[in-house]
Amino acid sequence: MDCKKVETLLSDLVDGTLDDRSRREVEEHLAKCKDCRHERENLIKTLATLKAIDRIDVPSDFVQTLRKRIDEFESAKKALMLTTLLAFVRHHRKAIVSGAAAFVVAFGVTAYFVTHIGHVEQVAEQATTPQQASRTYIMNDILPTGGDSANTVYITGDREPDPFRELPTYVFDEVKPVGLIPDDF
Amino acid sequence: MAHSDGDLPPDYRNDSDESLMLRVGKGDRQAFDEIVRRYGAKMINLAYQITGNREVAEDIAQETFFRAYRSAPRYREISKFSTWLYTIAINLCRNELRRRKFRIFSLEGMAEREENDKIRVDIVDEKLRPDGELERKELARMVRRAITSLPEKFRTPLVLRDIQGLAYDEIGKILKLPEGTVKSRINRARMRVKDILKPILDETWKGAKDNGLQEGGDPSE
Repeated sequence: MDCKKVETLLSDLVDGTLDDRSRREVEEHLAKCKDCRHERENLIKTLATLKAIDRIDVPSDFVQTLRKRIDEFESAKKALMLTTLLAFVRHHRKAIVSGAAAFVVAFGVTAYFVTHIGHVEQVAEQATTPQQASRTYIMNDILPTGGDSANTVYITGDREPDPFRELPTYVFDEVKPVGLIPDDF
Repeated sequence: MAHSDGDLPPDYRNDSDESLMLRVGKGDRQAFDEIVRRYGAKMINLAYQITGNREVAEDIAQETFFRAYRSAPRYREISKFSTWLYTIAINLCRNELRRRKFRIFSLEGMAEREENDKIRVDIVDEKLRPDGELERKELARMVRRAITSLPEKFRTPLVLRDIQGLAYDEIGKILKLPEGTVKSRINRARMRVKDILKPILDETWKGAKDNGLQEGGDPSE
């Protein structure tokens, strides 16, 4: 093995990653060659010097600065999400309002029938006139099909103030069917 | 037993980096503090050794951790966390070096190059000092200059291996290079640094057994 070849293997030698055969050959060469021994020593010193290189400490405000930046990021993220949501709502206002209206109507009607239909049927016989109810709503208000007089009942109750004004949300305190809509109503 | 008031921070010291990161992804800031505690010094020093500039190094370390935090919700335990973090930091260092390369024709760049060219002259001067004794600090400064004189593709693997102490296979994963390539780059980098430091090493390591040998000539190629 010549000096040039040995030089390329020195790094592996000092790392201890050289296979047995190459290691023996390199060591044989080193035993005979002063220059290469010197190179090996210098390499070992170089590595020791590199390991002992000055480290810089983490500055005292490092963690604080980082935390602050992450806080800012988190609030910016929240603001962005809100802005995006608002922009989306603004852009699709009509679709959202009609969608929500359809949902509320469907939900209200379903809920109404689920909770009250039995009662309606039960008291239907006693129904008389619209004037009996202090406050009267016509189911047609909230039934999108409309026109079907069989579905039409008068109901007493209060209309809850609602932020979505155009959405017909009803809260009924009592159901008092007063009969089919008279033809001349 | 019901847990205490929650005043005490949870103790994450025994958790793996990976499980901490999964917690960070779910918004656990204390888990992230532990990550910063573990890797803060490593990242700052890595960036310092690659860029050679303290302030830049702190900025790079900040940015590294910030990006890690930002990507935490998408972090999956596919790779070792340290590999992932080192990759972020090294990419940032490379961006910085690229920016500098762009400035090479500016006066600032010229000054920087002149500074580098002075290394060897300094070394010779030191060698000629009668007492031959170098301050440890001075030696560290020279080593740092020797490192920064290496091209980035040799410098980074050297720093990862011989200063940060990472294994060859992890360096390969970080740099996306085959292990053999990593090895040969580190080998060449070591030889370069060794040659640059040769005059100092001979002077400061008196008493080593090969002392007294005369070198065959100029350490430069």
